[in-house]
Amino acid sequence: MTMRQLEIDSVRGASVPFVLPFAKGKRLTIIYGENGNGKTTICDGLELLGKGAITSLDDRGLGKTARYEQTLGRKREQMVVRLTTTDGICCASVTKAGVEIDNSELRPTIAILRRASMLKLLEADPAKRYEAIKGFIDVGRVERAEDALRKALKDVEAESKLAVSQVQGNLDILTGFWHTAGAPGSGALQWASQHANTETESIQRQVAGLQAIRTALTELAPFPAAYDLAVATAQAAGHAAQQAAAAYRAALENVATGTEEIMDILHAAQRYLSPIAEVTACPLCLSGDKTEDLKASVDLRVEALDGLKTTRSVRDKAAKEALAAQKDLESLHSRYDLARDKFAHAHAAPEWKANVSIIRVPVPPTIEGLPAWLASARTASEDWEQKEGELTAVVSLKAGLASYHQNVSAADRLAKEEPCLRQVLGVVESARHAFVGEVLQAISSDVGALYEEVHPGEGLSRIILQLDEARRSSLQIEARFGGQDDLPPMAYFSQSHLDTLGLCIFIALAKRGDSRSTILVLDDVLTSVDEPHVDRVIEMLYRQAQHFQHCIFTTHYGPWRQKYRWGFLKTGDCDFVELGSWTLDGGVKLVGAVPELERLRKLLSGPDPDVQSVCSKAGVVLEAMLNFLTLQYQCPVPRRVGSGYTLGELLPSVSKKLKDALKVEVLAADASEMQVVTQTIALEPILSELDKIRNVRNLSGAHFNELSFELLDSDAIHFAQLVADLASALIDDDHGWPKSDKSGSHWSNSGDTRRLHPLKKPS
Amino acid sequence: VDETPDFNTTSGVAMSPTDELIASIVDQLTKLSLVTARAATELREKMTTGSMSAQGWRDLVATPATTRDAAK
Repeated sequence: MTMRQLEIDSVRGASVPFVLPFAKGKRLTIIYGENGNGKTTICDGLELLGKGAITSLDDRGLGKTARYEQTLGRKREQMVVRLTTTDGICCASVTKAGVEIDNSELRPTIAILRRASMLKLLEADPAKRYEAIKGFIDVGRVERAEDALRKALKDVEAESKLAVSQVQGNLDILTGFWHTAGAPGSGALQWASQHANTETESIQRQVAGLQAIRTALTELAPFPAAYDLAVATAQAAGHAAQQAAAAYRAALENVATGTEEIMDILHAAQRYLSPIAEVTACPLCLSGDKTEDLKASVDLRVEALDGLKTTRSVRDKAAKEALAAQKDLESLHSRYDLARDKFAHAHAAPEWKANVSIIRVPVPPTIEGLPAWLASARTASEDWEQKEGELTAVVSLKAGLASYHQNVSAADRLAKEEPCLRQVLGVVESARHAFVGEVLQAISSDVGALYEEVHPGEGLSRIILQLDEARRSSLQIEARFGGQDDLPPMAYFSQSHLDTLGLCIFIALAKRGDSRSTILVLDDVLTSVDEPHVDRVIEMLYRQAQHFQHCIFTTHYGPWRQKYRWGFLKTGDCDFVELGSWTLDGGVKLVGAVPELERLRKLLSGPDPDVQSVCSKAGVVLEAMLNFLTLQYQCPVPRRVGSGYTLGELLPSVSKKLKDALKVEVLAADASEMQVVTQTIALEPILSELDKIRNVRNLSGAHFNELSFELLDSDAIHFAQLVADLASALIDDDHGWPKSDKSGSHWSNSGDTRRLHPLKKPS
Repeated sequence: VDETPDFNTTSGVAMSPTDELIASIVDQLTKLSLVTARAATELREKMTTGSMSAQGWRDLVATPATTRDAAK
C-alpha cells in the first residue's frame, strides 16, 4: 500500500482544506516549516485518523482538549481527515458519538513521537515503561498456562501431603484394631490383610439384619411403661368425668326446670338492659310494673345461674378428657401391634441368625405380657449387640485397609506426578524468560545500534532494557557511562543525549511492531538535538525510514532545508516539502521545495531568461560545486578570516593535473530500464571554459557594472549553461553528490549513479 | 513499494511471537518425553487458546505416556 494523498479539513490549523500529495515511490516525506506554519496540524490529522484522538494538546493545562481540536470557529462535526492510498481511501470524520472511520480496514497504524514526548518513556516509572513495551513481550497466554501449571503443582503438593497424612491415619486405625485384637502375628498390616479376606457382603447383610432386629426390640421396650401410664390416665380421667357429671346433676337439681333455657334469656335481657339508664317496661311482657329494680333483679339471677354454667363446663371437659385418654390407650395398642409385626418381620429374616442367640417365644399379643418377655430376651439382645460390634469391626477393618491401599497408591502417583510437573514448569519458565529476554535484547541492541549511529564512538551505545524479575511488569533502562555499566541514563546523560536516546528507543519499538504497516510520524523532534549530532540523526532517520510503510518527519531546522536544496541529502529517498506562512484565512499552505539546481534549470529553460538572475544563480551553484571539489581534493585556496571564496580563487585552485584527471561516470538506466548505461564526462573542458569566462558572473550576475553593457546576453546564458552542465555531470537530483569513497577507487553518490574520478589528487 | 512478507511458517501463515513461544515450549516438552506427541497437539491447542487449566496440565503430564496414548 503506497500513500498518495492526505487531506485535512477543519482540524486545528487546517482552516481551509489542506492537501498533501505524496511523491510516488518515496516513503519518506520531510515537511519543513517555520513554527506556526502547520506542521503539527498535519501530524494531528494523521493521529486523528490512526488513533481517533489528538494528543498534541495534552499536558498544556487545558483540561479536556477535544473542544480545541477543531479549527477556530468550526464545529467538531466539520473535522475530516482523508488518506488516499493505492488500496483506497480511508476517511475519519467526527460525529457527536465520536470519530468514525470509513473503510476501517485501510486505517493506518500511526506511531507518533512529538518533541514534548521524547523523554516520556525514559522519565516514566518502570511500570509505565513496561506498558509501552508490553505489546512486544506480551506472552499472556503462556503466562496463563504457566499460572495453571503452578496451580496444578500446588494442588499436587497439597494432595500429596494429604495422601501421606491419610496413609498414616489409616495405619493408626488399623493398628488400633490390631491392638484390640491382641496384637497377633507380626504386624497390624499383615493381620488386617488376613482378616480383610472375609467376604464383606454377607457380613454387611448380617449386620443389617442384627441392626433391624435390635431396632425392633428397642422399639418394643417402652411399651410396658407407656401402657401403665395410659391405663392410669384413662382410669383417672374416667373417674373425674363421673365426679363432674354428678356435681352438675346436683347443681341442676337446685334450680327450677328449664333453667338452662332461662339462662340464655337472662343473658339476652342483661345485654339489652345494660345501656338503658331507666327501665320503664319489661322487654318481654312490656309491663310497667316493678320496672324500677328490673336490671338489678336480672343481674342477680344471672350471677346465680353462672355457677351452674361453670359446673356444666367442668363436666363437659372431664368427659372429653376421659374420652381422649381412652383413645390414647387404644392407640397404644395399635402401635404395639405394629411394633410386634416389625419385630416378627425382622425376626423372620434369615441373614442375622448365624452364630447368635435366637428368641424362640413370640412377642406376646398384649402389652401386659411384654415385661416378662422383654426380660427373657435380654440375654439374646446382649448377644446380638456384641455380634454386631464384632461384625462392624471387620467391615471397618476392611474399609480401613482399602483406604490405606488407596491412599498409598495416590501418594505414590502424586510423588511421581510432582517432579514431572516441576520439570514442565521449569521448561515453561525458562522458555518464557528466554523469549522475553531475547525480545528485550533485540530491542536493546537496536536501540544501541541506533544510538551508536547518532553518537559514534562515545561509548554510550550499551543500552539495556530489562524486566525487573521481582516485578514482572516493570521495565528498567540502563546504560554505560564513564566505563561503568548498568547506570540509569537519566542520571548521567545530557539533555540532548537523553532526547536522542528517547528517539532511538521510540524508533526501535516502532520497528518492533508491524512496521511495514506503520506510518512513523516524528513531529519536530530535531529541535532539542544539539548541532553536532543533527546530521547524524538525520542520516539515521533516513536509514530507519526504510523499515516503515511511510515516514513523515516535520522540522523547522533550517539547515535541513538548505541541505535538501543543495542536494546534500538523499533526495531520491525523500519527498521534501515546505509549508508557507499560516493564516486563519489561508490555512496551511504548501509552497514546495525546489532544489537550487532545479531552480537554475528552470531559469535557463524560460523563453526569455533574466540574465542577471541566471548568472547570479549559476554563480552560486558553481561556487557550491567548486567548494565541494576543492574540499574533496584538498586544493589550496588563500586563507582568510571569515568564510567565502570567490570564483577567481576557487577555479584556479583546481590544478591542471587535477583538472585533466577529473571525470565523472554517469550511470543511468537505458530506455528499456533493463540495462545500465554509462557515460563518461571529462570535467576539464567545462572547468577550463568556465575559468575563461568567470568574469561574466560578476559583470552580469553580481553587481551593477557598465562593463556588462558590452556583453551579449548569450555570454551570460553560456556561462549558466556550462554551470548547469557541470552540475548535471556531478550531481544526481535523486542521489545527490559523490561524497563516498567506500569504493576505494572513486567518489560515488548514494545511488552510485555518479562516479567521480580520481579518488586522490594527482601528485 | 511491494514488500515480501516475512512469514515464519512453512504453511505461509505468519505465527505470532507468542505462538512461536508456545510451539517451542511444546517441542521441548515433547523432546523431554514430558508429554507425548498426541498430548502435544492438545497442549498446543489449549495454550494457544489460553484455555490450559491446572487439571489439563495434570491430565497431560502426569499420566504415563504409554498409558495415555494407549487410552486414546
